[in-house]
This record gives sequence, structure tokens and C-alpha cells, in this order.
Amino acid sequence: MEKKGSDAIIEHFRYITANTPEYTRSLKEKGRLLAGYMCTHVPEEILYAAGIVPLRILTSHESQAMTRGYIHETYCSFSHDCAYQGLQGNYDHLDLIVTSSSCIHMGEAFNVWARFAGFQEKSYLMQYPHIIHTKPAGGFMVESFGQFREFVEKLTKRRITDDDLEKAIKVYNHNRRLLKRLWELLKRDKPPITGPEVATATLASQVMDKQECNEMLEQLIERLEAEPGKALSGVRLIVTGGACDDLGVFDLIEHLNYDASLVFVESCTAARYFWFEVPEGREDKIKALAEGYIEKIPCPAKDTVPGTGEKKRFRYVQQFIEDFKPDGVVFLYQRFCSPQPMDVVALKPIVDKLGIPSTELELDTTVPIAQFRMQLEALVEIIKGVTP
Amino acid sequence: MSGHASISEKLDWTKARVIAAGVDIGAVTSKALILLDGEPYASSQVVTRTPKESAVDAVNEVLKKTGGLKLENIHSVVATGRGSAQAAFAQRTVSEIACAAAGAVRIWGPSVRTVLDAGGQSCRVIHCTEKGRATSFLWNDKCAAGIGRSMEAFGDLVKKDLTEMASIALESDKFPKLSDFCAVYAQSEALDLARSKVPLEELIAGYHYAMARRISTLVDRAGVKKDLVIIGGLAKNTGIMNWVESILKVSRLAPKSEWDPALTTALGAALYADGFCKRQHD
Repeated sequence: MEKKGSDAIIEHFRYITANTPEYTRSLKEKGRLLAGYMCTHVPEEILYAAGIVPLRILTSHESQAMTRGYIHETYCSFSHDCAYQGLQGNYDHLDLIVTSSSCIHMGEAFNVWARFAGFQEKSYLMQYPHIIHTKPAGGFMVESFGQFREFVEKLTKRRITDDDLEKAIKVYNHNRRLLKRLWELLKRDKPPITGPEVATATLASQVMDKQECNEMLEQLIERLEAEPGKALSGVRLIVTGGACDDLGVFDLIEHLNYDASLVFVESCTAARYFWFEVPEGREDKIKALAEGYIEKIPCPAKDTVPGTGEKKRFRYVQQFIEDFKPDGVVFLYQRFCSPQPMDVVALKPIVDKLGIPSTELELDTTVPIAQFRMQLEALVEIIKGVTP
Repeated sequence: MSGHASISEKLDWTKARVIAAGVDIGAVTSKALILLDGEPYASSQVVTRTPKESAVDAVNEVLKKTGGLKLENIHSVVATGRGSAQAAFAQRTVSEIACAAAGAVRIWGPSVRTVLDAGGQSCRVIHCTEKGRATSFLWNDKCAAGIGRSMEAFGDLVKKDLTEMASIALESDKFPKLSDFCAVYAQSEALDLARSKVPLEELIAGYHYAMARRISTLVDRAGVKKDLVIIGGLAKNTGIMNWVESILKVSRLAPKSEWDPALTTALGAALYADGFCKRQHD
């Protein structure tokens, strides 16, 4: 049966996340230039300003034994799976692959594309400061973003004007505000949308033409605002952690033996992707971009305040807990990722102090549904305080 | 079907007001336990085939011992464990975290605060209240090191059963250091050492020590609140668990001779079944 209203838009977002290579190929057929990016530190606005559609390389959750010859086994499955996309030729239609020097695992996935997947001549590794909470980091980023702008200009053989950049900044900020509004609907007692649905739209936005995505999000929000919503049942859970583009994990949260609702996801495939803005109307557009990106919720790989060792991301997580009022926290991270689980060691006691129960889920290529289900149900039982 | 069952001859199911059962469908073995008015009556353990078959096998095995008790006579059944969703005859499922805590407090008493559940496919540390309510847990990461399956695999490699290996491990003071990061690496290192004529006893002890270190890391991360008890199939392996105590510098409450620690979670499930039934009657 054909879906109507908001369901039809959500279904389309879901289709795009499940068929990203096909969707992006359709953009190519329309004559668009496409750039794949592997990390959310890449300032998409620069690509967009040059008329390129940036799309995030995401995974297909298939076994990728073939990548073990290229990337060490103890690199995360997300990086393996992203490398696999290149080796399989799923994105042969891209004009460029770009990443920032963020995490070594994704750096290796990028290297596989550049060395072995035919992208040697159409790849760009953007330098990014190792620790962002330092004074020189801003200047470093301005220089690095400026170099990237020059590279893109050479690639497209066109000058990226400040006007182009300002327009791109506005389109991207609009997208961020729309996604934020969508997530904030889940603060309501009767949200008209579910957490997994918002996660789906958020993921789709990372691979879509932003203009098209914004139009869909506007329509979706307009329709949702007119819908009565449904009271959330059971316990409220938030997820915090690393990259997760397997929407099955979020669906699972809402299909346990107990009633549970996903109310927020703090990860680089969700809130960390869009929960910031780039200042608009600045004279120096590149400096504005650097300022915006440095103010993002930090990636655990970059997030250590020199001297104190403070993790600024934790402040955001605490704020999200205050705002979205979860009963439980799910720490979700990729197996073999170092920064994410190391953060959990320090973040869990903070969550414990708030009196919020938590559990850790370790992602791999495929989701171990039975085990995740058991852990999540045990978490809900703890929240509900079940006793014999 | 390979398994065994036991029964308390002191109790008579025909006189029981509430008959409750717990079924723990684990990765290696499946267990069933029946309570008569809250008192343990009969239990069984079978080797897991498919979860669906094993759930039925475990219940059939225990019913065979009872002299006429049938599944339909049981007022409430709670399933737990990896295959719990496959136990079609159970009215409810409860996680093994909640069941393990409830079972451990029932066996060892209200002083229990930490339960190390060392099972066939996973290893978990659970904190609980004096009433057996789980308050937090930590699950092992995605690796076979420190779980029952890896011990079985090592046993196959050195052609010894688990009990024999545990005795050998206890006797050897001297042993090589093996990887505690990965069960496969540890086994491969052990094989290399065997080729270098390192005595088998030392290899077995080394492997047990490596697995104990792995388990201890998990317990250490979760934190030990006294009293500690160890349950699950691996609890019976003193070769590992003595080292776990020594590495963590903490003593567990002594195993109860009348209880097989592998049955603790099934007992917890039965307690939940009993509780559900009583609440329904009230």
C-alpha cells in the first residue's frame, strides 16, 4: 500500500539510505559533480559552493573479507566497510573522494580508495588539527580549508566566490536547523515521529543533495506539525557513541519485549553531523567555516583539552541528557575503535552519577541482534526495577 | 539429546499450590528448573542443539524425572538466555541479567552485590541489591577469550576434557605467558610452544591463566562490590576462577555444594515465574 503524508517522506528517506549508490548515480545522470567524503570534518560547504554534491561514504553491512588484504584486521568494521565500497566499485561514478586527517581507521579506508580503487588522481586528504582545543587549531583550519578551496577550484576549473560560499553556508545551516527541529520533536510528550525515523532522515541528509533534502525536511516538518502525535510509551533511551549507519540498531530499541523509545542519538552519523552552525554574513567565509567546524560537538578522536585532559563532548552529552530526559543511556561504538570506548570509561561514571543506567553495545559489520536485544532488555529491566 | 536431571525427593508436586519453571536456553547448554511453592524441586541440563529444540529438551528431561508432572500442570514458565525467544511454551521472557542476579541472591543470600556470570558464549558482571534486583551490568566484548566456548576449543586441541584441564592447571606453578587478547592467538601461541617441547601441563596452566586475566579485566572494569559470587558453567573451573580471585585480590563466596552454578540463571527465571504467578493470584 502506498504511504501518505509524513510516512511517504520518511519512506523516501529510508529508500535513499538503503540505496545510496543508486540514488547518487541518478544525480550523476542529471549531470551533477559528486564528491564522496569520509569524515564529517570535511567542510561540505566548499564543495557545494563549487556546484559539487557532497555525499558521505556509508557502509552496506556486508562481510568484507576482501578488505583484510588492505586494512589491518583490528581496524573498525566501519572503515573496512567504507573501503569495501571503493573496492567494489559501488561509487565509481564519483568525481572525487575526500577525507580529513581525523581518525586513522578512516584514513586507511581513504588510502584504499586512493591506491587501489582508481581514485589516485581524484582524491584529497585535508589536514585537520589533531587536537582542536588549542589556539593554533583555528589558524591551522583556516589555512587547510583555504587550500581545500583552491584544490576544488582547480578541479572544477571555476572560481568559488565568497557569494557562492555564503549561499552554501546558508543552505547547510538551514539543513542543520531542520534536522535539529526534527530531533527536538522527540522532546514532546506526544511526538509525531519516532527516534528511528528521525535517525533515518538524518542519515539520508548526509548523502543527499542538500537543496533536495531541505525541501523534503520542510515538507516533513510541516506535515508532522499538523499531526497529533503519539504518547511515548515505556522508557526513553538515548544513544551516544561512534559512527552507526545501521538503522536496524535504532529500530531494535523500539521493538524489544518492553516498551522503549529512542529519543536522541549523539554520534557522528547523527547529532555530531549537524548540531552546530557556521556563522553567516562574515567577511572572511573560510574563517567563518573554520569557526563553525571548530565549535562542533567534538569527535572523541580530537577532543582533549591540553593540560586538563577535559573532554568537551561530555558537556554536550550532559546537556542532551538534561534536554531529552532519557531513562537510560546506550553507549554504542565500533569494535576496535579506540577513542569512543576510551571515552566511555570516563563518561560512564558521569552518567552513573546522574543515576541513569546504561549499557554498551559493540558494533561490527553485522549487528548481533540477539545479544543486543538481551542487553537492551536487561537495561530496560534495570530502569524499571524488575524483581521476582 | 545429551543431558541429565535431578530431583528433590522431599517435595511432592501433586501437593504444590504454585508450580513455576525457569528455562535458561544458553549457547552451550540449556537448563530447566522447577519450583514448588518457591522451593527448588527438579532441574535438568542438556546440550544445546537449536534453541527451540533445546528448550523443549530441557523441559522434557526435567519432567521425565517427576513422575507424572506435565507441562500443562506448570502454572508459569519464564524463559531466559540467548534462545529465550524460541521457547514458545514460556509465558514470559526475562533477561539473563535479571535472572542471574535473582538466582544468585537466592542461593548465596542477601549479601551478594556482584555476580560474575561466566557462561558458554558470554561473560558478564552484574551488580545487584540484597533483593536480587540487577542494578547494572557489563558484558564481555565481542571475543571468545574468557568464555566457555574457548575452553572447549582448547580442550579439543589438547585432547582433554574441561574438568581434567582444570585439575592440571591447578597443579602447575610454572607456565608460559599466553595472549589474553584473543582466544585464537592464545591457542596458536600454545601450539607453537608445544612444538618447542613446552610440557602440556604448563601450556594448559598458561592458557587458563590467560583466560583468567581476560575475565579479571572485565570484572575490574565493572568494579567488585562485596560479596562476589561466580556462576555459569565456567564457575566450576577452579583452574580459572582461583586465578580470577588471586588477580582481583578478592575472594568469592564459596560455591554451594548443593547447587550447580550453571543452574543459577534458570533458578532466577523460575523465581520470576513464581513471582508472576503469585502476583496473578493475589
